[in-house]
Amino acid sequence: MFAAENGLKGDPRLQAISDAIRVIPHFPKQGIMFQDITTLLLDHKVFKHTVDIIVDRYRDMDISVVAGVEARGFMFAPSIALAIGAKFVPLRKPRKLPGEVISESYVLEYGTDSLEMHVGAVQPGERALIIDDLVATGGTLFAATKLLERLGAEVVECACVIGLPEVKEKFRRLLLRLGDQGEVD
Amino acid sequence: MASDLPQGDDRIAKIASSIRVIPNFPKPGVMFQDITTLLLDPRAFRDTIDLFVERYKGQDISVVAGIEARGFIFGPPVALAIGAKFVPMRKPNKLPGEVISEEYTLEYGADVMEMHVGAVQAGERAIIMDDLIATGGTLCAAIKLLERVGVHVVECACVIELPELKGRDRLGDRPLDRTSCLEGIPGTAIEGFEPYVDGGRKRGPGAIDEVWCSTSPVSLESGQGDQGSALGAFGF
Repeated sequence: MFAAENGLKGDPRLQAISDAIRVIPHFPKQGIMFQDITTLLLDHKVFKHTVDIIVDRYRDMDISVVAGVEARGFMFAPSIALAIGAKFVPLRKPRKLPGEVISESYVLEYGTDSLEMHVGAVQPGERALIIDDLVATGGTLFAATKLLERLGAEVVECACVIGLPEVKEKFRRLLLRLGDQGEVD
Repeated sequence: MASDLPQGDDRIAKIASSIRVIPNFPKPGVMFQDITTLLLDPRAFRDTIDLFVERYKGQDISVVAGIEARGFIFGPPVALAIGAKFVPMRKPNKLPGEVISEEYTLEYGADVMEMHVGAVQAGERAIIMDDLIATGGTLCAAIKLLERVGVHVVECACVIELPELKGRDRLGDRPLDRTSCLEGIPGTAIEGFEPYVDGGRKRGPGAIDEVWCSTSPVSLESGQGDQGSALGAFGF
């Protein structure tokens, strides 16, 4: 597991977390093995372990911003923010955030999408963490990183519950992944 | 009600003042209640969660359901603190695997809410969370999803209430006819809309006792004092 690279080797909580994630074949389309974290959220102890592990890593790193990627990042990031005393910043699909936003596009398998963040949510020099449930190619997290950096924040790390092997090599050094759930076809 | 809180709880006023209003979003005439500024204030966010945790801890609540997407921000911290599971209630085609669906009416048109089959068991006690209650249409749909599988919805918990839209009344009526659950846009009055009334409020198995909100633009508590943090329950 990738987490082993980060000093968590042998931590029994990791196995419980991995076991709590359910795989749904052929969702959202044929050939994709979807990593479903909702079953983890149904298990209070394991959900707490997941948050604890992330909090333990970041609590002394002077992080004042925890950004979460819509929508599954919203399920993890706020609890982490609360525990380390940081602000929570939602990174959203277009036209969901009211008021003034900045936008960053990213490439999908077919087409593009974009992420938005509120202007003024972060100040230059703030240290930030970005949270999502899963990292695949890293495209979404890369866009998220750019949003924060454009407003002068420093992205210390991105943390995801699940990391898929195809995560691009250039992005690896930025990621802490708690579980390696196998491949997407 | 937030008015049930002991005198001297100034958390409510601080929470209310951290919410920003954006005029004319998502369309002209709507005064949008933006909770993202609350989330940028760690103290206000913590106090918001604390208020809900103080109310629901020790009440045998095993399910916190949160409505996509802003309900996902408040629901999980509360679930973690009270020892409950978190169940996301989502827009169509987001949840993988087997789901049940509930249609509900919008101001113009309809939408659908989904929940996973097997997420909850009959007899469990649940609260449903969202950032805001307007007409109560979305919450109605969530209540129905849970009740269809035999869950007792103890209460709906929202940070903000728009009382002029009478969502509270809608949740207190049983049985609910889903065609009369309308979802409005925060801040607007819906022209010509008649709230569903069936001989006044009925109570019965699964009836919602009340909508509890920690703050409202209409009624604010003020006072002095600091109650500490229920986040100690996190074990952090």
